Amino acid sequence: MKLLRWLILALAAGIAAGASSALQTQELLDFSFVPGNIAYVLVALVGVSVGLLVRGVQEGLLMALAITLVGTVTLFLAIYLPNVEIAATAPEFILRSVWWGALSIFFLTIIGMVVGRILSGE
Amino acid sequence: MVTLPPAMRSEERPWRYPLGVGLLIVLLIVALVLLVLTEQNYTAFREALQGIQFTVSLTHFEQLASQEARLQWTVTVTMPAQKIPASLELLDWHLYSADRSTYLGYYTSGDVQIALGPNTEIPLEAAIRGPNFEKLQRLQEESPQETALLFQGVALVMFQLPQREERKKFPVASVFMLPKEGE
Repeated sequence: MKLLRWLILALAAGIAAGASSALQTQELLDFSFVPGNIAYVLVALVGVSVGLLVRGVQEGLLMALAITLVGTVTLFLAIYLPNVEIAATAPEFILRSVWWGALSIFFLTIIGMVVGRILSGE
Repeated sequence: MVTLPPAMRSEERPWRYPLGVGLLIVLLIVALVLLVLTEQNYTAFREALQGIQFTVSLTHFEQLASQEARLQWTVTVTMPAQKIPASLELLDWHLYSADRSTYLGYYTSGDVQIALGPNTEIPLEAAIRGPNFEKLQRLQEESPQETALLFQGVALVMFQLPQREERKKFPVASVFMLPKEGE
């Protein structure tokens, strides 16, 4: 039951982080209603919310990795699906965005978690 | 060794779990809604780029006594299901004989701002004078019936994206028939 709750949390947080991160990618930034900085803030807030829910450094790191994994898949799908033909001819454009997105999800989630832990008094 | 009373321990704080879950649910909804709206804008923009069409038709031709011919066209801009506001800024065009062997000059609509709807008609006008008029007359004399001319231009369309303006140039080309004077 605990594992299921943990997986649901990683899935929800990963999708939220990936969808937020997709908003700052080169492909979608001009079409988004929010500027790129807000997208980063949303990813960090996901970290804050997760920081309120996890306990311990090890669980936090594992959760950050899981969120990054799910977030990267979400981000990849968000950019790839509307750009199937571009991805076929120039995959480096999409992969660059995905690589940067994954990196920012991981570190912003960890920063957010630390903030969340501090806010919760630990 | 200081032992915190149970009320001071973080895991005992009752607001931590609901706040975390609530914030995560709100963020998930906000992120997904923003992503769906962004993807819709992106898809609509790409559909507009691929689906925009320009049709040129000659509406009026008049040969004036003062060594001048006046031509009027209607350019119809057809946009697919429009979600991104767009406007036509400028239309430049060249006139040639249909086989491109004779050049009849360069014309422009000047700076205009016409909001584009699903079907927008833009009137254009050109006055052909001087050497270009003489070339036009020669073409008409060589043609037994109607004279085929080529309208070849570029339309500058401005798309209003949520974060910035995107200007795109589109080729506009059409062959049209110039009736004999008096027909």
